[in-house]
Amino acid sequence: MELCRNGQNHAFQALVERYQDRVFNLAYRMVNHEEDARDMVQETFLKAYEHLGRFRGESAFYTWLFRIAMNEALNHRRSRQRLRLVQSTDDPEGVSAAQSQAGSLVDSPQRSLESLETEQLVARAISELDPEHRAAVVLRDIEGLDYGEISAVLSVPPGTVKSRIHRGRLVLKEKLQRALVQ
Amino acid sequence: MKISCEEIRENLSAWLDGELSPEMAAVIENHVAECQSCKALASDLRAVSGLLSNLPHRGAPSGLSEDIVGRLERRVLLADLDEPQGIAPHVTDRGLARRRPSLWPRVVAVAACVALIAGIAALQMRGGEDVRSVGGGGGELAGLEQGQGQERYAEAGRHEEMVNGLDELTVAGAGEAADGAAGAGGALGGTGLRGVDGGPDLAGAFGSALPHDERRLLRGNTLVVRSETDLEESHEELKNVAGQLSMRLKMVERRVVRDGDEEYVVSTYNGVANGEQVAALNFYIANSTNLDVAEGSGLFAAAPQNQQMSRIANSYAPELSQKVQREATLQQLGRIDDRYATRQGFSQRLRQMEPADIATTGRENQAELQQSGAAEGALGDVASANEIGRAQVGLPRVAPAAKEDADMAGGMPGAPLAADDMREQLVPGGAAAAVEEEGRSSVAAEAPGAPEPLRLAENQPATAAEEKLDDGRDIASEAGRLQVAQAEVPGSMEVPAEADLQRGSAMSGSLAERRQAMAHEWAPMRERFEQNDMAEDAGARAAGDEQGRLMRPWADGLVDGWCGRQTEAGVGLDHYMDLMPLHGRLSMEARIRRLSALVAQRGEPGVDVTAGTGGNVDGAAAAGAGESLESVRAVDAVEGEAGLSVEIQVYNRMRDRRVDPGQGPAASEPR
Repeated sequence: MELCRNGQNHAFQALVERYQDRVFNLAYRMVNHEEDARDMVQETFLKAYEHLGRFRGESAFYTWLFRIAMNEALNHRRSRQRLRLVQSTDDPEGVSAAQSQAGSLVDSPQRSLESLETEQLVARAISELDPEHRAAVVLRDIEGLDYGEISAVLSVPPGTVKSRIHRGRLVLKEKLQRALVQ
Repeated sequence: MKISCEEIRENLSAWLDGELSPEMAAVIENHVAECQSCKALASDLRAVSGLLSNLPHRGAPSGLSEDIVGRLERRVLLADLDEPQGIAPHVTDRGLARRRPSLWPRVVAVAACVALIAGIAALQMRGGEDVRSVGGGGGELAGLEQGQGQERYAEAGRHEEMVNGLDELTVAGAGEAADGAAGAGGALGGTGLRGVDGGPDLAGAFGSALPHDERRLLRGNTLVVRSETDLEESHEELKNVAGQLSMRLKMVERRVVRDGDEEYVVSTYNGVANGEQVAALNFYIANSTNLDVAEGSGLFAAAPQNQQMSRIANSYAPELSQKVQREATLQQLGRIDDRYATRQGFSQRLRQMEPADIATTGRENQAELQQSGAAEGALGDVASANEIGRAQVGLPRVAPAAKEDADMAGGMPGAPLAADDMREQLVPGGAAAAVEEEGRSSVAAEAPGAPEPLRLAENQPATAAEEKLDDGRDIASEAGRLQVAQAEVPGSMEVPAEADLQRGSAMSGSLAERRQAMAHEWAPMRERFEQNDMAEDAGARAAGDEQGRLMRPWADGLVDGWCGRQTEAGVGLDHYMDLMPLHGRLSMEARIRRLSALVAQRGEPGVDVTAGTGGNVDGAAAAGAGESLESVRAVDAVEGEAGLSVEIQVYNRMRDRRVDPGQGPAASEPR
């Protein structure tokens, strides 16, 4: 980080390589679209670089990075919504990507299909959440942040984090009844 | 504690996540154990959380980091240079383009600093401390004084500025430089030159400091420069810089890129750099923080194979901080400037004269020069006499415009040929072949910059010329001999008989004296080269390095021949300092051809002297840094046969007009 702040871009590139997987996963789960997630990650790192001087090391770097990513994700979604209205609501890219991943991990076609269906179902359910709830749930259940960290990332009090996670899970529970039964 | 189911349910997620106090967690746990509905909800919420946490991790797609760095480069490059911190949030948010001072004058200042380094190395030679570090010169030097030298000293006012900046330099050790590879520290570390902590960091030398460290980005061998000048201006300036660094550059592409509401013309130049040029570039790049250079500070430092070149640069560095050298350099520069001004004035007058008056003027000028600077003007006399001599003996001349292009070391648009190829074009009627046979490899030696009025032999009857230039004949005769001497294969120079040299020439007396003085001055240098040559040769033999053994005579021959020629021309070390940084002008191809020819002459069969050398046989340069020729060859071998490839991209913002990269001003040829 210190090297980065000194304008040493090798160090920044190292940071990109270190955190890009995590930020991409976060972005992808937020927008449920690979290309959008890719753009979002790029913007996140560019803004991180741009404002690197403001990072004082008082929080973990990934917390700071996630905060940028989350802001980017919410803005990104707003800009994409109009485009999506004229596109198919399906997400074939996500399906194919999920298929490839699922196929490599499971031991039977049936299981693969089930896993794929479940992932699609869950991913879609997440994407349909209210953005604020979605962000809180993703940070907690996918990224594994504790409430304090989520509070820092989202710049909301811990009580709000607690409420948003709970509300988000309740909505997901309704949407995922079939998966839960399975 | 009695809590309602509703309140319990509100806390179920936090309870599952372990985010409640122990007391509250105990209450929830007890309640859930007794309340079936709350228990069922807790189970569902746990399952939901499990579904999410079990989603497969989606790693970043391949190439993402490269894309990010690419976009970062672009933003940095196109960002407003006046942004106090970092890059502009969005390049399209910039205001109207502001006219900024040209980038290149500062680049020239840096290049001049590179020249200064080389000059200091020349001073070093006078002390006999390190001869080899300056590298081998060549016949090309003779003509450069009239080409790049003029351009360079038109910027004479920058010398003072440049040298003042040396006070701000501090020197980091080579070890520290190597440590810099951990980050972009390799950028600054590459040359081991750093600004004083908290100090102006060369700002005094190169203009206002732009503390945009962020602008230094690394992308392979590409140096990206943003220029606010227009296309032609930046192109001309780049040509100038290329000349200052003695680099061959060729514009390979010009295209328009759009960024938001703005369009840029991106000109891409490819070039090849030899060892010394890399050292110069490394120095230039290491100090680029103060320039409008967007990236490339780690251009050569980052690659391990280029650290050799960094060490060469380091070998120069300690001298920069020594005040005594600074003072000496200032004096030398002042003397050179004065002499150049005298020579320049004479050349100007000469070009305005009628051919018939040239001989008379030559004599008058000789007297004038003797009055104004005595032997200091000898070189100007030689050059002038050379011109007259060419006219007398009917040697082919070079058109000024073409000569300028040749001076740019070839490769630029409109002059896409390598230097030697250019010479082939410029010397018609099979003369090029003759020149090649005689080992006259220097473009400069064949292109003394004769202006149109001097086309005497071609435009005037020989009889008229003989009548009107009777007195000039002796001068011309001598000039012709000097020219032959200059064109000798390095290492096999023949010194004309003293009687011949003195015959009938008004300037012969002073020149002879000058030669004697210079012979004394250059002798230690030549001896030192011989010693080094023997040592290196012995080492090469011991190591079974056949190619190295073969190259040593050639490389040293360059230096030896050069010393001899300077002695002949009455040129002292000070003038050598003037010209030395430009000696890399000779094209790689020419070096290879010369080396091959030399080996062929010596009957050394079965050895491909060009293999693995990258054409860079400037062994002296590497040896000066305490490195073996082998290591330089290894460096060049890594980079391929053409030496180190360099790419420079110049971004020109288009203003109020669309520019078709294939037409109009954008595609105009350099002047």
